[in-house]
Amino acid sequence: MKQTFSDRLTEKYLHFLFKHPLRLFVTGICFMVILTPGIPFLTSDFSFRSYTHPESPKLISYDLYEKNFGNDDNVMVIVNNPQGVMNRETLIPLRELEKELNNLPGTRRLESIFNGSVIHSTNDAIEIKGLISSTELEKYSESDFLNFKNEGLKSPNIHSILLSSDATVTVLYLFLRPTLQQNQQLEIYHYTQEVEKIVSAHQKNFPNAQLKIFGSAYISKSLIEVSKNDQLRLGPIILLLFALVSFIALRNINGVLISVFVIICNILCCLGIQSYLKIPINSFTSALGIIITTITTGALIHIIAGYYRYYRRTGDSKAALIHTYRMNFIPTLLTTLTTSVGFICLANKDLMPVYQLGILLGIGNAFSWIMIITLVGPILNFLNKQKTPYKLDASGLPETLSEPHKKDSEFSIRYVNYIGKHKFKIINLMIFLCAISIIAATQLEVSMNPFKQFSDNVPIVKTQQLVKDKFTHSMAIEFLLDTGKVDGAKDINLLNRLLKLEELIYSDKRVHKHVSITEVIKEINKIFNSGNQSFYKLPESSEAVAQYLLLISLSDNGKIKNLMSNEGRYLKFTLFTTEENSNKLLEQMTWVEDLAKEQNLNLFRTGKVPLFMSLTEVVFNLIGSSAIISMLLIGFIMYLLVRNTKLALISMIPNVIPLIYGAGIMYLLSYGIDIGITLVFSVCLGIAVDDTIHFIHHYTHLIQKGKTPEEALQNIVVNLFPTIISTTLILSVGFGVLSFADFLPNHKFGVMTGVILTLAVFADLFMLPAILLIKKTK
Amino acid sequence: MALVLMEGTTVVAERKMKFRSIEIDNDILNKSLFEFTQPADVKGTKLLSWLHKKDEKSQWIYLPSLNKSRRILASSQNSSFMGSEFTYDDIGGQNTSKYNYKLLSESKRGVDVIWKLEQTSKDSNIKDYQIITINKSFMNPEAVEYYNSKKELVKSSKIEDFTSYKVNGKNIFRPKKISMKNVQNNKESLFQWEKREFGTKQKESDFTAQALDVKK
Repeated sequence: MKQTFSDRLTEKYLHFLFKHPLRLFVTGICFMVILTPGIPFLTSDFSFRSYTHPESPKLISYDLYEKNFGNDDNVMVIVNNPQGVMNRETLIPLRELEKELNNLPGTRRLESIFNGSVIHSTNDAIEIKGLISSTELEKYSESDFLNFKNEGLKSPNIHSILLSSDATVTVLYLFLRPTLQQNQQLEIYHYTQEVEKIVSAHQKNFPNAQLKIFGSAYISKSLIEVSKNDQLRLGPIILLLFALVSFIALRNINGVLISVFVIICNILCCLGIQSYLKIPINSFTSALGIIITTITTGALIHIIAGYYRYYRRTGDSKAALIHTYRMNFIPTLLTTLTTSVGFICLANKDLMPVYQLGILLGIGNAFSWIMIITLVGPILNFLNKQKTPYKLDASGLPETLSEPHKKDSEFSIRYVNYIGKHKFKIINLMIFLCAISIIAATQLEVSMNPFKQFSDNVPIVKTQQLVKDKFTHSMAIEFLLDTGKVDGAKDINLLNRLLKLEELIYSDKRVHKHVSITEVIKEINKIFNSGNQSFYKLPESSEAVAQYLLLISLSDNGKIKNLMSNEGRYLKFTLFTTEENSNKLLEQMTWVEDLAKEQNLNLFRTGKVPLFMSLTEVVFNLIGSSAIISMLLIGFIMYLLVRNTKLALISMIPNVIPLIYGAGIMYLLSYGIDIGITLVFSVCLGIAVDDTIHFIHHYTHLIQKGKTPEEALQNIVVNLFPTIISTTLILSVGFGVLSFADFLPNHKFGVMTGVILTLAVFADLFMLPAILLIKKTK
Repeated sequence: MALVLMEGTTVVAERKMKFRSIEIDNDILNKSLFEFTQPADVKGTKLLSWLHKKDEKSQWIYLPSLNKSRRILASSQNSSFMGSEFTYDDIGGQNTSKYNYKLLSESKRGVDVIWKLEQTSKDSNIKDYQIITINKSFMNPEAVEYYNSKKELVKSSKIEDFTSYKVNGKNIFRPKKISMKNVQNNKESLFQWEKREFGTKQKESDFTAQALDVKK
């Protein structure tokens, strides 16, 4: 039979393996030696910024916001006293807590019930001061506290921001130093750790109250910890499970140890590559180790299982090596290619963490194949005794027995007959389930709420629920109003249009409240006019606005600085909404921006929450584009393997169908589409096709040798199905362990990958044989 | 005089004003009157402050657009003056009886004798302190460093361009420029005087709430 290019490549490799095993082994070690020194230089980035690339227009608009109003990262310290917080027992320890938190170097500004300012008129004098004086707490009476409570609940700055409606919860907001200033680069993680330590130490001073922590900075910290805990908790479990399943598949302890060794080498290489490519560890790339372990195992099992199957029967180590590499060298190369293609198709810079993980997995997967072919062969050759003598064939390689496969068993004959008898029923069922899944999949929604990235047992989830219950709103959306000129924020015409916008937004019942400079100006106008409610409106002129702002700045410039940029060009507008669904939130933001346009206002969303949620569209497009590109490229690779268009297309069916079923199952599980799901489809397509490649490679090889389709399938059932089932078991279990992750995208990734890969193996066991038998009939 | 607010080297706001003050020897230590002249939208706004002996302060503000004045209840002496890095304490004239002073060093710079003093509050709850550099020739600070309770430098002030004025036969030195830099956020504020007079006669009646309302 004429040798193909792939046969020649395999033979060349085998010659090198036998002639220079040490060189091959050292090559693999050299890769490791060159790459691993990069590991200590790995950085991490769990901030919101890491989700988008540095030149994204969204990030540029966020930087404009941060430059004018500071970092919107905050930590909220929540004091929850069911008996009420407006009393000495709560406020005195709160004062002490506030002092210590304010002294933290990373604290730029602190807002609390003590400095949440109210404007009022006392004997016709204007007073702008904090609601309660922290230095006078010991002197206040019960009725004073009651008055403060009532005053706080009337103040728009305090009610539902610093004090809940039932006055049982008060919040301390800590605002962090800007991240733009390089010489004051703040470690959010360490800052929130310090806050946690201080809060924990002060809890004993609040006998009737509970202290909780929340806020965007704390969410970033939680992302780091949850990812780290997931790795530490699940990593060893995966390794143990892998070792167990490998032992069951290989039935040889040396085989398991070799696999572990190769996997560790591969992970080290991947981490080194990550460092050299300056890709930080983030919520997604932290899963690199687990994913690479699971993928590498598949190829390892094929090669090592193939070796030991032959070696146990013949005692001929060298022939076993030749046999297993002749069967698996090209298929593993192609599976590596298809899997890497699946990962690299995720490389869209609009979604940085997925882009980074995609690149890393694409390259890491390629390195896993390099590690396997450089390390496994030489180690197996060295470790296992040559129990039988060997002769060299004409090409200089040890002779192998011809096809010492297991004989077709009775089971395989009955199995193939059963498939042949019911092939049309199988296909019809497949089509029916496909149709239902497609209908279900059209109901799926994208879910990019940054506060829903954790499982329910993570403490921050309960704290978020508390905030939602006590403050009615759950999301605060920041907008920036660009007036277009210095001091434009004082233009009375512009402010009147802003006021009109503020009236219009309340037609949406989800809008709970808003904060903007108009509230402050209306309040001061009323107070300046002896508290006359009819003056609770904007003044007549821009000069009056400017003079009111000057008046406020005399007593509380923080109030103005938080609402208006220094040069008076930009205004901040905050919307508190009850909406949580990311798609609907985006619609709400767009609606507000459109309303603003109608009022001739240049208002645009900003802050980290819209930045994160704007990735919704990217997620959706990425799933579509990566799936299509993956299918095309993998289809092409299949064609290269089989050189037959029909067969190449047939071989794609058992790989695409499980993805469709997976989409239907997502709907049943009420999973929204998020960043984790973007990985699922490309990863599963790339991995599922591995078994199909081995299947089709064996099938075409046997057909070319003159076997009938039934005989070829019987042979595959006996010799390949055990490996397919065991590799899928390993992969499903390996990824399935991620379903115990507390980081929800990882959890969903684990569940869906486990489910889809299991469905894929059923497709290979039932669907593919049925289709091949139908094709043969035709 | 002008109050300039800067971020780095960028001027973010500038307010020009006329400033008058008189010192009084009774329960009220001094009375001062700011009248804003620029920017145009705050022109004519006046701020009257009386600093009392017991460290209390009375303030009134007049807004020309509304042609009304109102009393403002005292802000904290530590709060920012008009959004600048200066506090009321910095500009209001320090009540030295509130502080303890310790001479840290005496040195020479050319012909000038330079004293370095540590200023700490008599209130034991206040742990912040200042290091004041005084030029004996001017009998005035030429630099002040502000430290927090953690001994971290928070702000630093430079007092420059001292000019001599003759008042009641004596020569007194007053600066034409005072800058205050916040080392933590890189923001800076400047007081600059174009024209400064001392010893001129002032009517105490000009420094009353009633006088604020009188349009000129």
